[in-house]
Amino acid sequence: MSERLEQCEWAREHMEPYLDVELPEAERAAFESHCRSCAACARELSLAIRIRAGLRSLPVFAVPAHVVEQSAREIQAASSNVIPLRARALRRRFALPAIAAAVLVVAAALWLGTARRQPAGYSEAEIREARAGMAMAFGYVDRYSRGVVGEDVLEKRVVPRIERAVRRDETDVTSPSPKRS
Amino acid sequence: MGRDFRDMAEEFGGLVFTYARYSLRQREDAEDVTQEVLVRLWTHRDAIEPARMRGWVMQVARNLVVDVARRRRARAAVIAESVDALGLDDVIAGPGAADDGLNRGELRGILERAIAGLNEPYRSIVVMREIQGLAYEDIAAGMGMPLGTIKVYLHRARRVLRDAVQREMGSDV
Repeated sequence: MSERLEQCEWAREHMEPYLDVELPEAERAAFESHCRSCAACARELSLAIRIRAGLRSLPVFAVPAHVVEQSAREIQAASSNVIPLRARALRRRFALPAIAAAVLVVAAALWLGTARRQPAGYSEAEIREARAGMAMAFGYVDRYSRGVVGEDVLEKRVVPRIERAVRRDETDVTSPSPKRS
Repeated sequence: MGRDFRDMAEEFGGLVFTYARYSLRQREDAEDVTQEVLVRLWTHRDAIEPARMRGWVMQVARNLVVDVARRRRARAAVIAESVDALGLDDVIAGPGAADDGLNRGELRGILERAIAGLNEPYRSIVVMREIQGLAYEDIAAGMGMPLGTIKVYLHRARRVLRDAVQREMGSDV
């Protein structure tokens, strides 16, 4: 192989690194010197530059708006099937009061059941009312534990009823009254 | 979600969509891939280091493009199982018709055909580097290859593109 051909081969091997500005200064100078004196390699270089420019001029696309919207909807739909961590944390925070409320309801029911057998106990109507309240309270606690109703419902519907019942029972225990009508 | 998601989609969506469009050459497929990448990105956003997010996105996009190409048998998108087995001869499918001109529009047409004829991973690397202008580090992360390997493949792909252009234009170049 002649010295000229060897130089051309060397130049073509180094053309891409030259365009990437990766050649050391000495090799860069040698490459440019060769291309100035070799028409074939100069044409090759010209073509390589035009190809690079041509590739860079090919269109870059923006993401279509409807793809973004569909993605957002998919994310939204997926998240609605999962209980968010925040809600779980809230539920855990209010689990203890809910259990305490349930225990109070049970305690009240047991006390009423005992009182029913005592002469100075409650009337049938009061017992029916207490049982209905207990059933309602258990229903709400169950629905709360399954996440059907929120803590606000529990507080609004159940807690006042329990508090009323407890206050009334405390009054009855501290100052027993004769059999109610 | 709202604004944050749209910012993220704007930043990475075009990147993915462009890559997928050149790789799959079917708009609907590219849209599917882009949507999937955006959903996954949003889902895993807190686990990805910000500096590596671009590489992560391109890796997921690349994997999905490969899946779609295999599943739907998109034309000229058959992925070689072992890229190392590829030689230079089979990098390009074949030259198109000869063309004597070299104006900008014709050159673009020739290049688009030449890119379409490239096999993987050459096509992906050319699209990411030459069209999208991604950093070598992001391409390496996206392709799951060492940086040096990316440069070698890119070097080969450029030679193949140059040969393809020369063949299309005849010996008048």
